[in-house]
This record gives sequence, structure tokens and C-alpha cells, in this order.
Amino acid sequence: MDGIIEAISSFASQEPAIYYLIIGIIGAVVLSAVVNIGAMYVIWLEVKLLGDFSARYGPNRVGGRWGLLQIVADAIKLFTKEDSIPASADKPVYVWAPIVASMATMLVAAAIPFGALYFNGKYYPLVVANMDISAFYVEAALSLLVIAAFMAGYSSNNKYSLLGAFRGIARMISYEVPMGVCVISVAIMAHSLNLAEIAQNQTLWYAFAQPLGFGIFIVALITDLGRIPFDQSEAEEEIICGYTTEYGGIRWGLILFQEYNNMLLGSILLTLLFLGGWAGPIIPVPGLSIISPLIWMFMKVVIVLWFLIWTRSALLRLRIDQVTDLGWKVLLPLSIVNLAWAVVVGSYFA
Amino acid sequence: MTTASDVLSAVQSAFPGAVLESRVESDRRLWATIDSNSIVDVCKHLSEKLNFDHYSGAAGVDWIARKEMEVVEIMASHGAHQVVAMLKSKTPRENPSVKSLANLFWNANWYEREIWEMFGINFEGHPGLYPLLLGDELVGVWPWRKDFKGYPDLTTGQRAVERPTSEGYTEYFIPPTPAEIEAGTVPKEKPKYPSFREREEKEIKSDSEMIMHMGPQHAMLPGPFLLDILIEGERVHKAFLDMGYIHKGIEKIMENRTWLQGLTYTDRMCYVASLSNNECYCGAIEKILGLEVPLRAQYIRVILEELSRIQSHLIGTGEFMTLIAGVGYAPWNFMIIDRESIISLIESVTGARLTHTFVRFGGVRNDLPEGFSDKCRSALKYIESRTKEYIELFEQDPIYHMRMENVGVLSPDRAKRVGISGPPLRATGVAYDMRKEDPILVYPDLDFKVVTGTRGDSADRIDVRLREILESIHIIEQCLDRIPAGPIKTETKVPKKIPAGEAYYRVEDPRGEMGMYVISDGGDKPYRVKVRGPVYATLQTLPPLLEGVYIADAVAIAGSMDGCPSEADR
Amino acid sequence: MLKRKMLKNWGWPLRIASRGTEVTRLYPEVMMELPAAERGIHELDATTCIGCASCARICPNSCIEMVTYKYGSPLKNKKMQYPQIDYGRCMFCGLCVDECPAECLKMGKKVTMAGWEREDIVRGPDKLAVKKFTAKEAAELAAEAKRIAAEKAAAAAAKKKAAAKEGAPAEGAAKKVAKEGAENKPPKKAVAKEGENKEANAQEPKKEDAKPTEGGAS
Repeated sequence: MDGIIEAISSFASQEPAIYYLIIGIIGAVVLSAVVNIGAMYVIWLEVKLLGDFSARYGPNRVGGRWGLLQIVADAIKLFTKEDSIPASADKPVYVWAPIVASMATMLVAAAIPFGALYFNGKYYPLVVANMDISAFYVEAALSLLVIAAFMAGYSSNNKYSLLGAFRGIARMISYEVPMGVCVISVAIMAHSLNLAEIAQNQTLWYAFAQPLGFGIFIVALITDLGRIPFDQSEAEEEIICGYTTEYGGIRWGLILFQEYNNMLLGSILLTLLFLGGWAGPIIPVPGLSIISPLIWMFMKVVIVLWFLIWTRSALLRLRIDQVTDLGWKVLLPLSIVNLAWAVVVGSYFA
Repeated sequence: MTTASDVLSAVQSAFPGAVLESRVESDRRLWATIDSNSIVDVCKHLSEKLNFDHYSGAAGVDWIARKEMEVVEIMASHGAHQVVAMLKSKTPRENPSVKSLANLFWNANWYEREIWEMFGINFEGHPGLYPLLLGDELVGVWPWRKDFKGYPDLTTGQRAVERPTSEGYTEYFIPPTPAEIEAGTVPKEKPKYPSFREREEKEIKSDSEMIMHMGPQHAMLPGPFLLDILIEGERVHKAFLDMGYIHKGIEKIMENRTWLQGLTYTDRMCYVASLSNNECYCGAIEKILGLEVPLRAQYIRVILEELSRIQSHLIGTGEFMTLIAGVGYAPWNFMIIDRESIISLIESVTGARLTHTFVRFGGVRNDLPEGFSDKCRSALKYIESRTKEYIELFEQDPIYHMRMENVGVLSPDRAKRVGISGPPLRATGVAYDMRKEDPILVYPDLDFKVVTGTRGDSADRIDVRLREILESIHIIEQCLDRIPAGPIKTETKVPKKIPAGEAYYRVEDPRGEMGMYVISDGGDKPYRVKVRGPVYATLQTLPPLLEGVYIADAVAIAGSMDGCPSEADR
Repeated sequence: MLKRKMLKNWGWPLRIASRGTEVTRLYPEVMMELPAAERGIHELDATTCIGCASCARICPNSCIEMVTYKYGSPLKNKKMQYPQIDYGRCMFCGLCVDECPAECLKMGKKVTMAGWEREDIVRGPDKLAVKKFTAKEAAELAAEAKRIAAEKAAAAAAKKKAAAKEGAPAEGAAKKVAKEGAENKPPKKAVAKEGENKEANAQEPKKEDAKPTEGGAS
């Protein structure tokens, strides 16, 4: 293991730019594979858990008793369906909207550490682009989703889509702000904008150090992901499917995967920022000690995902005006209070 | 207490000579033929002086042998007395025309539109005689007249001729065949009126407004009807409702089926409430025949109708929860699970899960199976605890209250005026329940109270339904205690031909007041069956309620009404 | 807002999930238990059916047609007409069962009837019959019926002859009976092919004597 990583790093440290390119391409391929397969199993987890919460089985035929391959079958179906574009749609924008959405997701994924390896008493974060401002960058890349949603809604030339896009924008904008303030509070406490460092610097989990910020971040995260109780932009019972109404087949599949990618990345982000990332006792078994941070990370992320799905089966949907009210009038002031708290406590501990 | 004969004498003294014929069937039913010139005045007098504040509907009848048409106005009262006045006004069959009551009773509008499109009876003074149930191409054929020869074949795709519209869409036109023209099934001249789309587009006042369709296919709808909302941003300015997407012409079909066969069609008006529809139809015929139903059969009917009410309320509430929570919401599935136990109970008696065809003229089809009582009691115990849990769940949920409280508020006066019934009416605080107002079967012997709300908003409507489940459980438990042994069918043989006569019979459907007006001319088939369904009135109430709310509220209001367009369209 | 707790919202689904009760039925493997009163696919007692066609008359959807069938009793059902039900139109209202004067038509607990073709769900008396005569019994009964008819005809003819010399209109009866005996063909609409309709066939109680080529169930 040491040898491989050394070889890779020595390869990467060679000067010619071509090596960076090759590393970059390999990283991108591995990343999108990992993220998309991850998303597939987030979908599987969702249908299975929603089934459990309402006393049903969920998928139970394809891929054994647990329906593990159901989602693969669904994906094959989605990606082989007829591709139809509405005659009155704004075609280039319509076509690019799902691509922009998945691009935004991949941009986010590039800067997020999925975990870390532990050896020689040191953590090596598994991240494609380990930049110093990754927390800030992730926030910025996440807001690209607003653009994708608006592109999809506007270009579809459909009333439901348009309303969905409007709702999505209103919702995302009003929650990006408190979410950003929460990230800043965390960065202040951690004295870093690097997500990997934020995760490692948590001697006390920030969920306990700033519980208010933790709560606000969860609410803002659910809103950003567009999940119940904040799924107004695609409330089926009101506006059919929101901005994705006119999409079908592979394009809709991309949007769907992007949503669940985001859910996965959002859970990872929450874990990194507030739940100590991969922190956890190292398992003193030779083979397992290296990946034990990964195991901890995985467990925390699954718990966060489980919580998000649980929320979906438990809560009702808010009305859009109530959502923006909550965002601007409640969460934003609270997040600023949390910022002040972070500054005071953070400087005290520093 | 005012009785039918009191009402008759009051009308006779106020309008001497206006009552041409009259018949006091019982204390609760008054049949009178009113001079068609004074029908409006009589109705006005009834509503203002004699507490007939519930305009319940109207029916058209085509008396082809007598060369005249009849419009029967059904008037009742919201609890002041229990008389139902059936006021007929006659008009010749050539150019039939009567005076409209739409300016007197707001909800007469739709009933008169229906009579107009089906019978071609003109209503003088009606604000807008547009078709309601029929498609535009069928207006003018007057399909429910007795001399109607059948629709032109408008469904054969091969005959369709493509033609572009001025807006660039493709339209299909199906020209009638020469044979159809010869047979006279193609209307010669069509009445002129603006189409539904033209009418709603007239209301668009500015560029920022648009019309959004909620239906006929929409996740919000319990069935196909068209709810168009004129919105500006998220705000609904006006709503338009069109129905008839699943108009099956059940009333006409029943005229072509024998009395017993007609029973199966009542099931299919609304499969969630098929038992009360059965009851309504059979009750009307029993009234004509003067049949006495054996006591055991009466108890069985009550038990099953209340069970049916429970399952209807459960699915109505559950489906509604998906509208404001999404399909992932777990309690919706819990309601379906609970409903399953009730459905199984009913199935063990009737043999069918939804369309029961169970009630018979003068009895019921099957007796209760062995061990039904115990099974029923344990199931009801479970439902009771679960229902209490639902009430508690909604009570403590802040999001539920944010979404539902003070949304779609109906005041008691307004609710009475628009003729709504059932849980939406009771949620406003008006204790109007057919089981008390027009008691049938063994309901008078049973102890139960009418559940009412206070605010009349969406939350109250759901609350009333849930508490009605508890009340129904109470009723069934009493019935199980008291049910006697004995025959389940009347001893007298029910004839194939029902003697000439007419009856109006009302039951409390899970959704409100369901009435059937059955006329027999002594044949083996009904002469006319008019179904006055509760959902018709509910849907009529919907558009004015939606003015000025948010889109999400429109869903919360429309869903909480628990409408069933299948029954409204018939 | 805070005065109301949301604990139940979260607690109830969790309670259900932790209990592990699944109410979904795994349909083809686990069949639902149906009550005795269930109105499923019809069961015909061909031995007692009198072929009165009141079921066909009452059917609101006119899905019952009377067809010829061999394994019934010609003593009771002279023309050997038995109901054939088109399940594509049947709505299981049960009026036919109520009307049946011989109480030979019942509705059973079987409800599955998927097939590949439309003919698969048109079930003739051979598929509906749960009780029928074997070929041998049917032949005996036919012979018996013939004998009785012949006797009757003879008696009538004798009577006629004895009573008056008005010709012989009663001869027709004897001829008619003979004709009916020859008419015992399989029903017009051949029903299912084996293999394609295994399920339906598996449900049918197979009578060992029923010849596969006769009666339509090949």
C-alpha cells in the first residue's frame, strides 16, 4: 500500500503537465463511477427504507431477497428509453440542463473528501482536488444547481416546469445564505476552509460545539436537496414534477441521479463539517487499521442518509411561502447568531 | 314539527291555484305539481318563509306519452324540519322551457345545466347554459329524451378527418355517415355558446396571469375532472371546473336494464361507497313497493354501510395526506393497511371487495358468516386505537396545522347556500346528517351523535372524518349487540315488474347526501332514475373556494373535499 | 409552533419499521386467504343444470351464452345447453348465481384467470364444470333419455292413434331427440392450449374419463 501511494505521488510530482492530465482523467472517471454507483445505492436505500417505514417490503425480486439489483434494472430501463424532446422546447438549453446539473454535482464531488486512509500515524484524505478553499468552493459549485434547475424549467416551455423552476430558485436562494453562514461558522472554528482539515480539526464534533449551526445546516441541506418537507419545486400533487416535468428517459435519469448524488454528497458534507468526518477509534487489526477511517465515515454517512429518508416518511410538505418565510425570517437570523457564537467560542479556544 | 301536509297547506294558502296536483306521501315527503308560472315564487316562499334553505337538486323527466316534460325541484331544510318537497313543473315537449331558479339558489346552476344538455329543456333566466357533462359535439342531440336514437359514432378513429386549427394544433373531426344523417341521430342545429376554453380565457386580465390545468390528469385529482386555475405567480385568482370526463350515462343505462340489473350500476358510480349507493337504489324501490325489510337484514345493511363509511373515510383521508405530504408519507400507508382489514370484513359477507351488489329489494344477498361478530369487534377495536392515533398525530404536527388551518374556510351560511353536504358541511358546524334527518332502516333506534366541526377549514374536514370513524364504530358495536336472528329477505316475492309510482330516497353516503329519485311506469325497467350525488354539489362549491389562495392551498382544499368525480359524472 | 411536538411524526414510522411487520402480500407465492362467500370464478354443477338460461337473461353485461356440452344430464337438460362465461365482460356481480333455480351455478374462490389470448378468458362449461358425468355415464344417460323420449313418443303416438285419426304430428318429438344425440359436438369456441394456460388447467379438477379431444380442452 505504501509503495503504491508513493509510486503514484512520485508519478504525480513529475513536472510535465501531461501527468497531471492523466491523473485528472483517471480521477474523474473513478470519481464519477464511485459517485454514481453510490447514488444508485442511495436510491436503493431510499426505496427500501421507505418501504420499511410504511410496513412494506420495497424491492424484493431483482437481485435476491433484498432487491439489490433492482436499481440496476431501473437504470438500464431509464437509459434505454426513447429520447423525446418537446416540439416547443428551447432545444439547446433543454439538452444542456441535465448535463449542467450533473456537471455541478461532479464539481462538488471533486473537492469533497470521501474518507481517508490511515497509516504511519497519519490520515491521507481521499480527495480528487484537495484545495485549501474547498468548503467555499463546494458552496459555490452547489449554487450552480439553481442555474441547471432554471435552465430545465425555462426551456421546457411548460407551465408546471416554469413554476417548479421559480419555486426551486426561491427556495435555493433563501437557503443558500443560512447554509453559507453555517459553513463560515464552522470554518471559523476550524481555522481552515479545507474540508479535510475541518474534519480533522474537530476535537469536539461541531454538532456539539455549535448545535444551532448543526440544526440550521440540516434544514438548509434538506432544502437544497429538495426533499420533503421542502420539495416544493417538484411537488407532484401540485405541479406534476416541477422543472423535470418534460424530461424523460436518459435525460430524466441524469437529473434523478444528480439528485441522489447530491443527497450522497450532502450527507458526506454534513459528516465532514459537523460529525467529525472520519474521526473514530482506529481498529487495531493490521489490515483494517488502514481503512478504519473509511469505515467510520461510511457508517456516519449511512446514518445521515437514513435520517434524511426517515424525514421523508414522517413529515408533510410546507407551502412555498412558508418555506421562504422560514428561510429568511428564522434561519438567517439564527445562523448569524450561530456565527457570533462560533466567533466567540472559536477565538476563546484558539 | 312541520310536516308535509303543513307545508302543502301553507303553500296552498299563499298561492291559491298554484298547486295543480299534490300528494302527501308521508310526514317527510311532499309531492306537488306547481303551475310553471309560479314555480319561482313558490320556491322563494318556501325558502324564505318555510325554512326550505336546502336546494337539493333538480331532475328532468321526459313524459313522451303525455307529450310533456317535467322538471322536479328537490327542496329540503337544514334541520329546521324534515320535509322534502318534490315540486314538479310541467312544460310541453315542443320547445320545452321553464323558469330558472339559478338566481334564487346559487347551486341550481349546475343542475339546470345538466337538465338542459340532457333533455333540451331551456331555463329562462339562467346565467349561462353551457354543457357540463357532455362534450361540445354531443350538445343538441338531447340524449336523455325517450325518443333519442343513439349517438352518432364519434369514436371510430378510422373515420376521423385531420384538420389544422388556427393555432397550429391538429384537430380530429369525425363526419357523420349518410346512414346516421338519415336516421336522425345527427343534430340539425347546434346551440351557440362560448366553449369552456373561451370562457376561461376571457378572464385573463394581464400578461402576468396564466391558466394552469389541474386535470383531467393530475396527481391531485381523485379522478378525472378539469380544474383550471388562473394564477399569477403562486396566487390563484380564479378557478374553473369542468367535468364529464367519465360521464357514463348510468341514469340512462339503468332505464334500459331491468330493475335488478340496474343495481349493479349503482355500485359503479363510486366504488368506495357502493354499499350506500346500493342501499339508496333498493330503498327507493322498496318505497314504491311498500316492502318491509326484515329486521336482521336492516341490521346487516347498517353494519355494512357503516363499515363502508369507515373504509371510505380512511382512504379519503389517506389519499389526501399524500397530496400535502407526498407519497412517501408513512401514515398514508397505515391508513391503507387499516382499510384492508375493513375491506376483508366486508368481503367476508358480500364476497366482493369494492363493488358489492349486496343489498336486494327487501333484504340482503348473504347472511353474516359465522364468527363475523367476533372478527368485526376485534377489527373495530384495532381501527379505533389507530384512528385515535391519527387524530393525535395530526393534533401535534405543526406543519399539518400550518398547511391546513384556516385554509378553504366555509362559513355555515355559505355552506348551506352552496348546497354542500357530508363532512365538508358538518365541519362548518351544521349538524346535517341524513341518518338523523331522513332516518332509514334501524338508525332511529341507534344511539349516535352527528360529528361537527367549528371552523369549516380543511383541518376540520379531516378531523370530522376521523371522528366519524369513531362514531361509526360505536354504531356497529350497538348493531352487533342487538342484531336479531331471522330471515334476511322479505317473504313477499319481489315482482319483476314494479308497479307504477315514484319515490325519493336519501341516505348518508360517506361523502354526504345521496338521494335517488326513481320513477316506475309499471314496466320491468325503471322509467327514470335520477341520482343526486353528494360530490356533484362538492365539486360545484370548489371554484369559488379556490379564489385567492395559493396553489398548494388549492390542493389542500380540493383534496379535503374527498370528491369522487366518477359519482358526480355518473 | 414549538408548543406542539413532532415526536409522533418521527416515532410512528420508526415503530412500524422496527416491528418488522410487512403487510404487502408477495402475490404469486403467497395467496390471500379468501372468505367462503367470495365471488370468484363460477363453478358449474353440470349434473344438475337444467339449461334454463335464466343466468344468461339476468346478466347485465350479457356475458353468458348458452352452449352445447356433452357431459351433462339429458334427463334434466334436454337440449344440453350450458352456460359459457366471457370473463372479459363479467363483473362478478353474482346475479346469475342468485337467479339460478337449480342452484347449480356457484361462485368459487378461484380468482386468477390470466391468459395469453382473449379466448383464454372465455370459459365454456367444460372449464366451469366442477361436477360432470364421465363419458360413459353421459352415454348411458343419453341412451336413457332417448329411451324415455322414444317411449313417450310411442305412447303419444299410440294415444293419438287410439284417440283419433288426425295424422301424426307427434312423430317430430322422436326425431328431435335423435337429432340432439348427434349434436353433441364440442363448443364452438375452442378454449385454451395446454402449456399456455397451465394455471387455469391446474385449477380444473381433471376427470380421468374426459377425453382430451372432446369438450374443447385440448
